[in-house]
Amino acid sequence: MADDLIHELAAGYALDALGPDEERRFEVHLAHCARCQADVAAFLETAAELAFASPPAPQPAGLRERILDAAQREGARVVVVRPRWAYPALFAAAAAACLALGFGVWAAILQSRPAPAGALRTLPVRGAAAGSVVVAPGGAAALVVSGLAPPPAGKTYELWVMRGTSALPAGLFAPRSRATVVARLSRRVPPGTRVGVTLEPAGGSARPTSRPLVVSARL
Amino acid sequence: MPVSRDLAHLSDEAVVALAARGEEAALAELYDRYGTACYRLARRIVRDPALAEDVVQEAFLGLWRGAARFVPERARASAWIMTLVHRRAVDVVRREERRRTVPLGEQYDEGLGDSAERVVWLRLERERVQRALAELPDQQRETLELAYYGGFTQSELAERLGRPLGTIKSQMFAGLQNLRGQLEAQTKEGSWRTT
Repeated sequence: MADDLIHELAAGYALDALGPDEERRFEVHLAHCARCQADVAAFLETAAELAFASPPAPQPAGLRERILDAAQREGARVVVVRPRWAYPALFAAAAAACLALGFGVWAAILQSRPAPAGALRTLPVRGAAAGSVVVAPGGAAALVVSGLAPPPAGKTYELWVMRGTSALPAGLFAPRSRATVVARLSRRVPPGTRVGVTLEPAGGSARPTSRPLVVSARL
Repeated sequence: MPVSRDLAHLSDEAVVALAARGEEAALAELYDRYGTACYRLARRIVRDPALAEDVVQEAFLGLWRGAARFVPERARASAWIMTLVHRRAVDVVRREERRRTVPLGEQYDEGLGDSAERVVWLRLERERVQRALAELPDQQRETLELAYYGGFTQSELAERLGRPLGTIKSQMFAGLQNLRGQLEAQTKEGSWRTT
């Protein structure tokens, strides 16, 4: 029954109409539900059609040039793409993570999905939770852990990509229970770095204000 | 730019693949194909012209950065581009809280600064989607439009429309399914007529 209801969220997900908590809950479900994966893929296409029903508006002068200038300044730097279009990497990452956590069935289902070129790396974590960081080729990564307590009121967990004594913020997450949580990193994980988790004031910090509770092995 | 002329014959997906290799001419080509549609969508959602410009710029830069990860087997490139714009625009209205009160304002003529072909194409596309939307039951259409163009979450819609959250979720699901069916039916009709 509850499972039937969660399938319906595929539509809200494709329309960007879920609240943040529900979106994360659905993404965890999506990682192992073939039916929702198919629904989301079809619904994303349908939702995008709605774009074309927008009324005319005068095209801003110079926008094309501004975009091309900005792109040129950036070069061909590859950073993390919108998560919902990164399915193959995410599925493969989740599959590897499930294996690491001992969820053999999930992993078996997920591995029937096309995997990205190149080898996934799974980095075990130590500290306040069990699990791993899975790094896809190119550095997109997700932390998959269980046993992490929900943060106290006014606090959040923050992810970090750490090299030596420096740490760069890589996103916030706040599990509601000690169940398995999948937290995507908003930043690539380059070779030679580790992923860490600290407890920070709500809204996150620009640099860690406490010692990491969870640290991964070095990539 | 002489290179971009050559790209005109390539599929969207092929152009995205070139962008993934860092070819700026490919990004320019994608802007020429979808920039107008992107800006219209951004404008409809965020209303403010300057914010809409930012949305389109960020979406195209996201496309530039993420092109290597695009998987053509899973989606059409145009749908991916529109999804990038939509996501960004919704993030903006949720942050700015502007969509609820600001009216859409003046209506514009189509085609300022666009080629005649593109103006016609955009008008046909618009009519096609509007016809499909018109076939939906009122409540389903309303739910889809407020979610997609208004940036409202399902919980916000439940409150605003005075319907149970479960009803909103079902209506959204049924609405998208219906819309998909309508659009597919139109495609079939269209191709029947031309053959």
